[in-house]
Amino acid sequence: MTHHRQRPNILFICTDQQRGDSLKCTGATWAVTPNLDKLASQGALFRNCYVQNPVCSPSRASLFTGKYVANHGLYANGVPLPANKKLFTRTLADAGYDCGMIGKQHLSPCDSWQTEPRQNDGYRVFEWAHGPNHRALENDYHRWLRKEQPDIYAALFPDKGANENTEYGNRAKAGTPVDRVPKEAHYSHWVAERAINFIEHPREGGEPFCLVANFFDPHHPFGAPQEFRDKINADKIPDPNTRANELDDKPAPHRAYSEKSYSGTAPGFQDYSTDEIKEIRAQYWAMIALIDHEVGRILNALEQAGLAQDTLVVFSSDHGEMLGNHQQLLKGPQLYDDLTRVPLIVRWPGQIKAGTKIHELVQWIDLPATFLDASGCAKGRGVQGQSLLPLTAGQQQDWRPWALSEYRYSGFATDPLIMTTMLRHRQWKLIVWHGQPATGSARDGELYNLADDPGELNNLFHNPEYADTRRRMKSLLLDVMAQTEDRSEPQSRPW
Amino acid sequence: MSDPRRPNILMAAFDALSATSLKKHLSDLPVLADLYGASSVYEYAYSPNPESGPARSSLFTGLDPCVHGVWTDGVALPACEQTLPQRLARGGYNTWLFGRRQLSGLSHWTTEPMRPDEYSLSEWAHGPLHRSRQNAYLNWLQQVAGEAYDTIFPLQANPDDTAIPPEQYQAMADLDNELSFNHWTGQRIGQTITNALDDEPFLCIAGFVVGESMGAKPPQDYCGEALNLRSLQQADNALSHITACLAAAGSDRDTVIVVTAARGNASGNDSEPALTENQIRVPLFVRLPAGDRTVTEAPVSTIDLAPTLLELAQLPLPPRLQGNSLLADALPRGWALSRQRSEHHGWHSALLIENWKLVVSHGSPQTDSPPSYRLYNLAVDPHEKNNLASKEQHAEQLEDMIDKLIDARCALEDRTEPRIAKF
Repeated sequence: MTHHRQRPNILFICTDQQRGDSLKCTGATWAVTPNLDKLASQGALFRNCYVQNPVCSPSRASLFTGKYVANHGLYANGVPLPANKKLFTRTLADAGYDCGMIGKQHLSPCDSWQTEPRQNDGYRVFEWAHGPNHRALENDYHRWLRKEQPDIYAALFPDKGANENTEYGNRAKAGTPVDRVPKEAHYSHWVAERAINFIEHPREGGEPFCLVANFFDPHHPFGAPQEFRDKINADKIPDPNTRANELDDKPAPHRAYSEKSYSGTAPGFQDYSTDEIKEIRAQYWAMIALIDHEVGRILNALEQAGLAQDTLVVFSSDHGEMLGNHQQLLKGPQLYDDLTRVPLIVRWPGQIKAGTKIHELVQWIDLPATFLDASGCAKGRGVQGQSLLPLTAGQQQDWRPWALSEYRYSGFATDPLIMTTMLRHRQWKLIVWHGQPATGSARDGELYNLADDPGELNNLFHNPEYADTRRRMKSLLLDVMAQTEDRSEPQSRPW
Repeated sequence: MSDPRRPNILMAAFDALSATSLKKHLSDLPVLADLYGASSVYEYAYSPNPESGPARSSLFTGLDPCVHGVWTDGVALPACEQTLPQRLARGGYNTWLFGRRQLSGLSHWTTEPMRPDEYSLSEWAHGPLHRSRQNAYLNWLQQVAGEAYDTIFPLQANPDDTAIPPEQYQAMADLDNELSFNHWTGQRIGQTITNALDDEPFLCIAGFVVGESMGAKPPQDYCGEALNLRSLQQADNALSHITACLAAAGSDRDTVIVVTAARGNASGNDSEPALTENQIRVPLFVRLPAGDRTVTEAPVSTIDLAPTLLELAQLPLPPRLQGNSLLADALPRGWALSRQRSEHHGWHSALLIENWKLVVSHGSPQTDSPPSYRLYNLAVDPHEKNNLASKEQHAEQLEDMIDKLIDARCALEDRTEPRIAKF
């Protein structure tokens, strides 16, 4: 962007595990998302935003560093972000932004109720809570709840006799008690409360702010306050997307991930009755309705503070949720659009025309590039994404026609390790299930024509009629893999 | 002398020498021939990059260029990456460098910045025609043969003019054996071994130069070689002197001798296809103090050398290492990936697995211009004359190699940070 403008505030609202098609404005007619739909109508709605990894930590590392998973080194949950990686919030802070993070971050292991260590992140405010059931002493949501709602806190988290299993949330088939507390005591409410407090913080020097507000919803356990469950009509939600014998035509691990989730450590689709799946889906959209309500409060506070015009607001999510589709739940090595395509709304009054709809394939690593572009900061060495601003202005002629997502035993590990790679190129999607020499797993693949089969039900990978397309997509993947290597070290001499 | 359980390591690291070139001339190289006959020999060892800077960075870190970040010549190895000599120095070794190092950009006679904790003794000289003030060889030459030096290097009129005229190459190549770069290297190493006082084992890098810096002409045909045979013989003589000094010091049975090269000896010829064997297949043999000769035909990579030497030095393998030790009981890796990412020569990737070789010259996913492929069966076509990629009966083989190349890329991504928790 070249014309004169002030450096905007940046408000990045990020949910956890929210599917790209889960908003009313992205096709879920049964969703209760008036605030997000309104936000989308005031700015640009991206219909094809892909994350670079389908689980939390590696995906978020791509967001904060702007690098593909093969390059930032945080390839799996439970791996700390290597120390020499630069976060975009650091760059913004160095440029004078007042930066803050509220909620879940997950750039370092949090299992066993570990407290997430601070990075060189540039935040003035860091109010962290890995999740509502995470019992680190530093869980700021718990500290808040203990002060605001002492009775609820004491009932849920007694000093003695509480559930000590750190995979408690993963193993719960339905919502846990803390998911169902009244909204005034809810994690999502806490995020909004603290975000509003951050927005309203007096900045006498007039410096812009950058706030990363990270909701835990609609991450499982599948439970929401009754008030929001009551807003969802479960009968309006369609049955899960699948077909008879679907798993027969998919790579073998798909069956294991149908039986159990998280590599056998969490209940799987097959453990639920049809009615239970229906209820899970209703609870999922109840959580989204709660998010929408709380996002509405944040946006209202921004408006009240007179900052809405000067703020770039971005809403997105770190990855999706299978939600019973393809006979699977939660997430893992599957690289269906269910997991890799996320919502993306970008509002910037005066800069982005209201009602803009973008169908180009964009990637999550484009977000830090966009934030840095909007702030006037140089993109910086090693930030691999591209700013979305020229695209929203219709000025980008040769936008990249592909998106890449790489799973490297990023979720719960198996033996042998599972690695998968997705290349979406125009209407085609190739998913490679890697074999030797990467891993001892059997090599296999998936190929979908999303123009004819947006639900990814018909795997054309082994269909002889599509052999040429399969080979063409493999060639494209080789070229994309070469293009996405990190060649940011400067060449200081001709040789 | 040194602890018999911790061997000395002498590493002859040539600048540019392909496995085939060395083999072709072995009859003129008695010491190298003896070593070759008494070593664990890796007949199919590949450099992960055909350019010197990336290749040497990989040789000295055990990391693929995609991980250490030196993707082309002129890029410096990032300070956060630890080199093999740094690790051995910290592990109690004396570490010596004589001759070439090349872990940073060196054009225009740039002096290579050294790391204070890398070499306890370093006599650095990038090559005989690299006129950095810190070039230890040229300083020596100026002292011992001032007249010859002045003849080769007349007063430099323009400080920016660092191009080397052909006659200078020739004059340097024609110097007496006793004044040559590789001779100097051998003499300095011999002297250092003879004078070594303390009991610590040593790692000694002999950075020999036999390629274009020695006046070798770029190859004129497909399997040509840019190699100065005389300088290779001078290196052989130097090794003769060094092994004699080792024997005199009683260390010959305590010293591991490694012979390898950063890259092959073909470059600068635009008509040559990318990533030929002559560019990326390098000598790799390791003479162990008490080892029998073994010959491994399965492909290995030069990134496997760093973990091998760390294991010989009885040092723990750090997590930030990608090679597989060649000493392990398990089979060698059996594959190698080599990638060129050059502004001038384009992007190419080569996979070696069993006796097959696939070379991809990359296209652009932006414009849908596809890559082009070359597929060879090296068992019957060692000179890569018969490209099978477009032959219908090899379509399945081609796709299988493409699959494996995708997997090999995946195998060499940066996953060196240990996973310390489930989530």
